[in-house]
Order: sequence, then C-alpha cells, then structure tokens
Amino acid sequence: MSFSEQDVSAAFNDAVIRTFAEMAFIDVIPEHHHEGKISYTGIMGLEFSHPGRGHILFYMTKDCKKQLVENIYGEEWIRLSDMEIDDCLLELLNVLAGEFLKNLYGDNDKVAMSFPRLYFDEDTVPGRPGQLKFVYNGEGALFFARLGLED
Amino acid sequence: MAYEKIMIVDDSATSRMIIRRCFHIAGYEKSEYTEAEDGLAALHLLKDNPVDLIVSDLNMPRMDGTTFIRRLKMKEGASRIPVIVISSMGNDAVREELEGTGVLAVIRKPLSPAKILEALGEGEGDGDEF
Repeated sequence: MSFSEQDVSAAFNDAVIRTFAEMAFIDVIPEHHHEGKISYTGIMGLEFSHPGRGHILFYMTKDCKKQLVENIYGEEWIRLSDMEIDDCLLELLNVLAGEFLKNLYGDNDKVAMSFPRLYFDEDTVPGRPGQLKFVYNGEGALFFARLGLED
Repeated sequence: MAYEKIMIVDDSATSRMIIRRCFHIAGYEKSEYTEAEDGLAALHLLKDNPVDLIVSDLNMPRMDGTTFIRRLKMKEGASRIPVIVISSMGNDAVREELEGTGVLAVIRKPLSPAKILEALGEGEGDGDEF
C-alpha cells in the first residue's frame, strides 16, 4: 500500500493535534516552514510492523515535556518520579501512534507496534531517522518528529 | 449496573491513572480498584481478589491482552467477569478477533469518561460495543 506525502502528513498531523489536545489539553499547530534548529533532550521512539512498517521519533525540550506531563498528571513536575515522567511521555507516543495508523490505514487491519522507548543518542535510533520531518508549535514550545515509512 | 470492584490491567502507570480518573468522572469514584501491569499479574491477582469488571490493554509484556482474555474466559469463576478493552490498537479487527469472548466493548485510546459510559451502556460516547 503506498500513500502520497500529503496523505501521510495529514494523517500524522491529525494524530499529533488530536492526541495532544485530548490527553494533555495542549493546542498544537504544525509549523510547515520552520527551518531553524530545535533543541531537544532525549528521543522517544516507537516502531510498527503492521498494517505498514516504519517508525516514529519525537524530539522535545525539557520545557515541552514538563508541560505535557504536568497537564496529563495534574501534578507538578518536581513531585513526579523519573519513571512516572518517562512512562507518561511514552504512553502519549503509544496513543499517538495508534491514532496515526488508524488515520492512515483505517480500522480493519490488526495493528502491531513495539513498546515505545527512550533513546539518548541519535546514533541508537532505529533505521535511518525519518523520511519525513514534522515541526510543531505546542502553545509556544517548538518540537519535532520524524516519521519513517518503509512501504 | 454497579461495578464495586474494578481491575485495571495496563503496563503503563500513566494509562492506569487516566483510566481510574475517567471511571471516577463517569460516576465510579466509590469503586475499589485493583491494578496489574500485564495479563499474567492480573491472573495471579484474580485468584484472591475477585472483581466485577476488568479493563484491559492489549499490548503488554509477558502476557498480552488477547491471551489474558482468552485465559480468563477458560477459568472457572472468572469467565463471567465482563471485560472492556482499552487500547491504542483497538479497532474493528480487534473487535472481530475478540468476538465471542464476552468482551463488552473495545475502546481506542485516548480515553474519556463518555467512552466508558457508552461502553457500559450508560450514556452516549465513542466506544464501540459488540
């Protein structure tokens, strides 16, 4: 099954916007023309193997992660353990990936995804990081994602 | 229907927290909640802690949700416990696969109180029942 870049982008953008809004109450806007460098701490990633094969990687600053986690937990960052923070971000990615695969492939095929995980170094991420790069503005905080689709 | 004892089976502590919070908002704030990180832990807990309703994820380490539900339905005394699947991978294919296992509903994450009420037949929402 092959898709146009426009179809893939629409499916991914919708998944990001919807998941951030519904889980963390954060309004996200795609930054289609952003060219500059965006800093990040750590990389969150997940691979999927059915209905299509590929991977999703997210790159965020600590401030962006803080806003997400505090909104989801309804608790201050300093009161949460590292384990809770990591688990929260990975669960967001897990939900987002499900939304993306539903948007792109529909509802009729069983989905197979890896467990989401953290990478601390670009050299350790799966495959060639992303054919497509997406930049977003989440209520003032810039972050980006890479999406690799093998089919 | 009143579910006084609810078991949440999900490997993510965040997801278990969100599920519990949504059940509270949906009117189940007085229910007693048990949590398990995967299907295997849930089966062990159920031996000594009977519950009225099970909410299970699908993608979990050690024992996934589908295997857990099939094992549960073979267990005497536990086979009649209603199950709701809440997963980022919940879709029509999963509904079809779990048809006949007694699963009440399959809900795709992100979860909301409205989806829970819909799944339990108590309101309008986006959950898809069998």
